Amino acid sequence: MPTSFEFEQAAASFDAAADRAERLLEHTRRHFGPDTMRDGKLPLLADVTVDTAVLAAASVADELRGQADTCRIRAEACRTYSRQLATYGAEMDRWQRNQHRADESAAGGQGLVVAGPRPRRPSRPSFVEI
Amino acid sequence: MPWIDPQRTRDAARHLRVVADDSDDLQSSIRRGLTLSDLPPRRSLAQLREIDEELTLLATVLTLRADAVEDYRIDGPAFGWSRSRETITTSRLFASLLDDEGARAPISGDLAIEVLLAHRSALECTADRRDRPDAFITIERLNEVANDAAQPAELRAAAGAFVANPAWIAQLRDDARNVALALISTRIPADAFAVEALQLFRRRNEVITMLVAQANRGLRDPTVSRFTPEELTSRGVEPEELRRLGLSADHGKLVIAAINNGTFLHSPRRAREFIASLPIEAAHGGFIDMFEVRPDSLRALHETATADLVGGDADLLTHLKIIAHLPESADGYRNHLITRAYAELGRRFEASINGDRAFDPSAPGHSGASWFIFGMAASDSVGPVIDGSLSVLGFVPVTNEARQDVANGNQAIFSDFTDGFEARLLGRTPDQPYLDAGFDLMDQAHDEVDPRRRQELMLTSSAYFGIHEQTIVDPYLSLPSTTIWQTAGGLLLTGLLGDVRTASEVMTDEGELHLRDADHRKLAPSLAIGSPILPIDDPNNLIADVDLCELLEDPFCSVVDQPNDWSKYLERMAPIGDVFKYHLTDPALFTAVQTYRPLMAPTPTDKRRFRPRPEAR
Repeated sequence: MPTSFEFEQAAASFDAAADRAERLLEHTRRHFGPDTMRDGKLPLLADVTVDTAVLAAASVADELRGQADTCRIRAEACRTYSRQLATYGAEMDRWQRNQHRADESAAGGQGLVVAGPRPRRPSRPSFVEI
Repeated sequence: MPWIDPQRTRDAARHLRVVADDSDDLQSSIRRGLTLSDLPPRRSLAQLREIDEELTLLATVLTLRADAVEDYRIDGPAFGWSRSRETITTSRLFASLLDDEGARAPISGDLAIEVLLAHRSALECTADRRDRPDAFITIERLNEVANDAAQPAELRAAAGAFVANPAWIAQLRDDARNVALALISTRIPADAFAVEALQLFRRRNEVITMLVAQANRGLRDPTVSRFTPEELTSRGVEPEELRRLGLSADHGKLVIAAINNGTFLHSPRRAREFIASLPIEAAHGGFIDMFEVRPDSLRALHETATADLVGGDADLLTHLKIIAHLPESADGYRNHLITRAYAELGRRFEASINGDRAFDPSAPGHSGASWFIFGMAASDSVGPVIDGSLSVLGFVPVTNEARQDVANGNQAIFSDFTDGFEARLLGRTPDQPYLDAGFDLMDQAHDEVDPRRRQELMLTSSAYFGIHEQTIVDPYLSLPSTTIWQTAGGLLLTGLLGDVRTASEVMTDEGELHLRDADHRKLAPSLAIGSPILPIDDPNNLIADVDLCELLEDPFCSVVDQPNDWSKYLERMAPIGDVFKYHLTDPALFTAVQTYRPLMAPTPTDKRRFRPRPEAR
């Protein structure tokens, strides 16, 4: 499973690819003006092919931007989970210390020491790796 | 009227190829993101592949179109030697240019002309030309018809093909001043309308239209549908059409099916173009399995491809190249054609070099046999191996692998000599020095008047051809299958019943060159190619001039008179040289060469190569 760093890298990669997809055919139409060809079916064929390719490239760019956004969301989720996990670790340490003290006080007949509820481990998103 | 600027069109094609490459590269970048994130952008990858393919296809169309405008040949390695209409070729653009409602199958120039003539009453439209009915049809009218959904598919195809191919029009136009198509100048009589070709076009169009529709729905493999290669080819669909349309299919199986189902029997020119696309094993590395080719279909294909060849050097060369590209069949049909072709060339060179003395080696001043006559005998000798009628030592059958390898070797030599012959015929120097030297020496023999020198030149010519031939065939002698069946480039052993030697040893010791006629009747005792050199004064020595024995010291000089291993070039060259020397004037060779049916009838106007020899000084 990817880490937040890898999701960030992937987002950058998808963004860069989306930029390239948007620029892929930006100069293509200018090659098919009336000074190159006119009348008949060939210009029609060229126009249809290029137009279709331009639409496809735009669609590719859209999907890649979406992928990049998803990657960034997941990277943030990774970071959030990482923070939650760190908090959980600290709370768990504190709880374990309290639990130990509670056990000792109970064994020594000293006053009642309550450890409190055991911290709950944060649930890990399926795509996250720390 | 359609117009393009070829240079700008080529620039556009180059740009499209760059974009297609970028699209391909972009897919790599996306895959990196995929690897990092486990997020598969499948739609993007598919769309980029589509962009890559479509732009590459459009770039190809544009380049071809620019070629056509600049009057380049537009259709690959066709053998358009003889007539101007040979250069009117099937349009590769056509299938790409038509819309979905129109015809998808390519239409040949010949059929397009015939279709237009058959519909000329529907095409004649120009008011100012009404005084000349059926003489002119304008390009504008053709364009209208090509786009008129109410017209029959074949008429739209024919009209569209001409509109899309200015080069065709340029060849047919009789008046550069206007854009009219002088169809009448082709003078095709009405009864020549090709009904069968038209029916074939319609069937093919129907199938291809269906396949393209399937492809548009994402089904790019025609065999996924109900069509097998046999069904496709029997409906006239050509393997190259499917490849051109980007429809994946097993091309090799389609090619074999096209041969077996007679896909190209409707047109000699199309048959030639198809044959030209078939691989020559020695040149291209691939070959068609001879056991998958139906002999009767191969014969029909050959007969169709040569049906309109009328003679002369150009048609002869076309015929030789057809034979060189044909696959072999299990009955050895191509081998028989190769043997006939050697005989044809042997006869032509013999007639050219020896004039009145031709085919009479006992006549004073006769030059002796050319290599091509020996080539005929050698090719005939491997026939029994290729057709499987011979077995080693009477009981070991020839394996199919060995038969295929021998057939490939037979083709390798013939195609190479055909290339050399073509180069000489067209006034070029073959790239191969020994081949070139061999032809030069034949030319010198042709011009030489001293009888002894003529024989020396002819013998040396055969020696150089022999060196070249044995160099070509050398790799085939080390193949696993042919180490059992040593054939030495056509010089074949015969089996000996009861012999305990291995086949390899038999080849080395007892190899023979048959001297048989076209009906395989033995004309003379076989030439023992592994025997020691005969003494000069031996009565069986047929050589005309004993001094010739000294000629082949180099490069045929060998350390042994008796070869120990036929697969070793240096060991087999000495006995091969013996054959050339001792049978230079063997009458049986000249009898045999006259028994083969001519490939072509020479025409009196084609004398560039086969010119009469000069008078003796």
